[in-house]
Amino acid sequence: MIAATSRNRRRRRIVDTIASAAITGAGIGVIVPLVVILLFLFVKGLPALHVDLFTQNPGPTGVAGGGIKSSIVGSVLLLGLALVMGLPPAIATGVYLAEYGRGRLGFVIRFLVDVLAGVPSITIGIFVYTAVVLNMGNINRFTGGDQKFTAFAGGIALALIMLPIVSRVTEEMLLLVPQMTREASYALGVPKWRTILTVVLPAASSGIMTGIVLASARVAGEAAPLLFTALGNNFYSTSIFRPIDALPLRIFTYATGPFPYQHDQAWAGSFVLVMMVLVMSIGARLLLRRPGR
Amino acid sequence: MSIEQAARPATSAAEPDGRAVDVRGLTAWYGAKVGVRDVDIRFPQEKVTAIIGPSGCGKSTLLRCLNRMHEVVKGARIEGSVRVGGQDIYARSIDAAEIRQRVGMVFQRPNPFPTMSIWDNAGVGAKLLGHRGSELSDMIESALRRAGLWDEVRDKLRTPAIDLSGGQQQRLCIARCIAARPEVILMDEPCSALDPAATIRIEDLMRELAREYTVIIVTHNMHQAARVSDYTAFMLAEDGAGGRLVEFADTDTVFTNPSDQRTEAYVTGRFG
Amino acid sequence: MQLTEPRVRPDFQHAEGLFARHGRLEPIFRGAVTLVALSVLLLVLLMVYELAHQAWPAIDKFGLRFLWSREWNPPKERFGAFPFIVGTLVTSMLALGFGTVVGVGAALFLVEFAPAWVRVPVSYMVELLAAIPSVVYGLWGVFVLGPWIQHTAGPYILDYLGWMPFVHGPPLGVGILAAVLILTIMILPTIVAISRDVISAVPRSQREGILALGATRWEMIRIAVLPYARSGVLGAAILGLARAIGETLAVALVIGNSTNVPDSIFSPAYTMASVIANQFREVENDMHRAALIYIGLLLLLITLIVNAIARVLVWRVTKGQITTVIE
Repeated sequence: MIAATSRNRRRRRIVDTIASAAITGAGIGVIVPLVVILLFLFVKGLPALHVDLFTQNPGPTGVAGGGIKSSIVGSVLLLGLALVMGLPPAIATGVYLAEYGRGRLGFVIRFLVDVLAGVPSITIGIFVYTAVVLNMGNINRFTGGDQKFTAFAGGIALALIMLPIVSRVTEEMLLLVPQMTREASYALGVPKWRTILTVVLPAASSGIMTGIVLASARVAGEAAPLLFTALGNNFYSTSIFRPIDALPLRIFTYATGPFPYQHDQAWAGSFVLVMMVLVMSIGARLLLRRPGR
Repeated sequence: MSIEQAARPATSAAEPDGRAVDVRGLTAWYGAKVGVRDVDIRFPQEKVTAIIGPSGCGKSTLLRCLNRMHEVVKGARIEGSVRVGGQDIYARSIDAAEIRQRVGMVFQRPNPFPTMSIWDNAGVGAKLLGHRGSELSDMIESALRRAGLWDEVRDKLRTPAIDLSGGQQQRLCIARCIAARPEVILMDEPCSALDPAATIRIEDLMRELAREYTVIIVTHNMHQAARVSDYTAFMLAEDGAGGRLVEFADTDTVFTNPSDQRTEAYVTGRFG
Repeated sequence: MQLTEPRVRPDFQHAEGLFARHGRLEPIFRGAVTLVALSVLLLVLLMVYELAHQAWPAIDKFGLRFLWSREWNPPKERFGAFPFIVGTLVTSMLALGFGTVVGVGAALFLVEFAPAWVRVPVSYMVELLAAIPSVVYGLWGVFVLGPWIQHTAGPYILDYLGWMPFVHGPPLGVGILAAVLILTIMILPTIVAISRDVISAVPRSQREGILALGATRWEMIRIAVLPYARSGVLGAAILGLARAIGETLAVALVIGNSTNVPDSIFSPAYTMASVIANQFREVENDMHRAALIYIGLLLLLITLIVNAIARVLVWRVTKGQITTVIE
């Protein structure tokens, strides 16, 4: 004996089937873009991969051949600058927020770190342009340089992008360290600052490292903030106070270029960039999973 | 449809015991672990049956097998049969959702939907069945009346359901359950999260509901079982191999003259 | 990328006063660390100040008229940001719409339907989508998506939907539609990840409650799960919106670079972020630069507001369980 009509049941069953199909479709559909993009990267990027790509710098514009060595080296240098300039303040801020930032000031600073995380990277680029590039006159007096656009500025921009990410991760990881660990150290008479440096930070280090690697992967792919800070450079340069090229910048330039060789190299460069980023991202996750403590 | 008509449950034409629940050889697993083993029991219609026993004896598991909620958990399965009104609820041709409408359930913690008003909460089940308009309104009002909640909420029907007290929320859940026109009502320790005053109200409600429905309750409170039920089933999990039905008889017998000594030990408070 | 850790904010800082012997260097360390943290505060303030300062010539000259003026004429020093504001709004809102539908659908799939052996890899792949740099999306957009729109999808859409407003004109491979599609893909990871968390957090008692009334799985989702999770899902969507608004390079490569107000999904256009990226290096005069920085300032303010709204919504649902979203 059924209290509900079979018509009602049938209708509801059909709706359920349609909805389930749509949801499953969305679930599958969501990975289609990834597959397609990776596919094209392989199909278009792999054939264009060439030893020359890594050993040669770009030739004169319009002349086929050459490579993207300067871009790759530039990316590495910029990442290094970003890490050197960005990590210490980021970790210090994370330490402050976790260990001392309980009160109102901590709340405000935490909020502002989140705000900074949400600033579009192009806006950060403009800021560094106005704060650094436009003031290069003063800085050049110290360094003896003569350039407005520099790797230095680019590094600062990338460091600003990295700052909120690493700061938040540092804070989270430090909060995960059990209080007992700190207290054991205090019980031995070790002052708080020393405890943080020698006990707590090392305990949180693998998580923090993971965060740093992920932030580096993110930063390695950024080009918008470099557009008017590091500017890009067709020539090989490792000088900090000169314009410098970066892989994503070069891809951007070549993507809009008129010459086929540029397009090929853009694909090859993208392949390299994505592989680098994926390796770093996957590597970071493996770091997180390692039981090293 | 008038309120009275809405209140009268749809009756079965053919089956004389159209609302009895017949369990044969039921064994239920959670993955590799056995929850209940080899249970044979017949829950009489239009009576209150209480399932009692110490923690872990499988009472809730048994209850959840009766409306196919057991299988909602991953890795759960059963063997044996359960019949409601003579119909095998685990038959392949049967949709589990249909069974759950016919065998309603009230949970240990009241679980009204927080984004809905009292009125909407009460009507969810009925709406699913396709009822609308004044017919739906009558059904909701009737259910709220029978759950003894109408007078308390009639002025605030559109306010959020979670603003009600615990006892009121549970009565709302009962109203929601009966508005969906079930044949059997299962209650899994429905009063354990409530204060004594609310508990008494719901116990009275159980007896009233038995006039129209088959009511099966799980309770860890023996006194409640003694007060409320017509029949009592006692379960026990002895050797880690799942809960078994030890004894099933009318309540008086179980509590004053049980045939199994384990039952006697339990109801006299020697363990559990 | 997402690291989800439950945050319990331990109250040890208070108890520490009793236990920690500070030593003489403690105040120095604490002061140094606090100072660095304070510099973050200064940094953000400095950023807003600098942008406003550099944009001032344009703010002074155009005021709020800038927001609805359509003329963008660098040589004549006449600037109005309306076309770019429209471009940003249209592309982000459409991407938000598509992204939410597909993203929430995918999240429901992962939580309610997918067995573990499907859920883990698919979740992972969605996160990988987030790791792909913006330029690469742009490159793919230029050479794959663009031609596809131009030769395949565009004519098809024109044939069947050409009667709709805003669907006309030659199906160029660059323009609003291309940008919307790329932005949708780019914000999917954000929406899927957060929605998935929020939907999983719906208590078992709610799901069982509706199932016990005889609901089908879709009815359970529609009646018990989604309403319960709605503010969190909304927060996820708005975070996706914030991401779409700030997205620069991928959009710059496929938007078509036109300073006209778009009137069709196939129109080339500009967004606020992409016009800055494209024009900044070749500004014709100081007012041009100031106008671009004015746009940058507007962009900053919009993203700040949208982000704030999103975080409040997500925080309210996850109630302090912090999701570290590494975007």
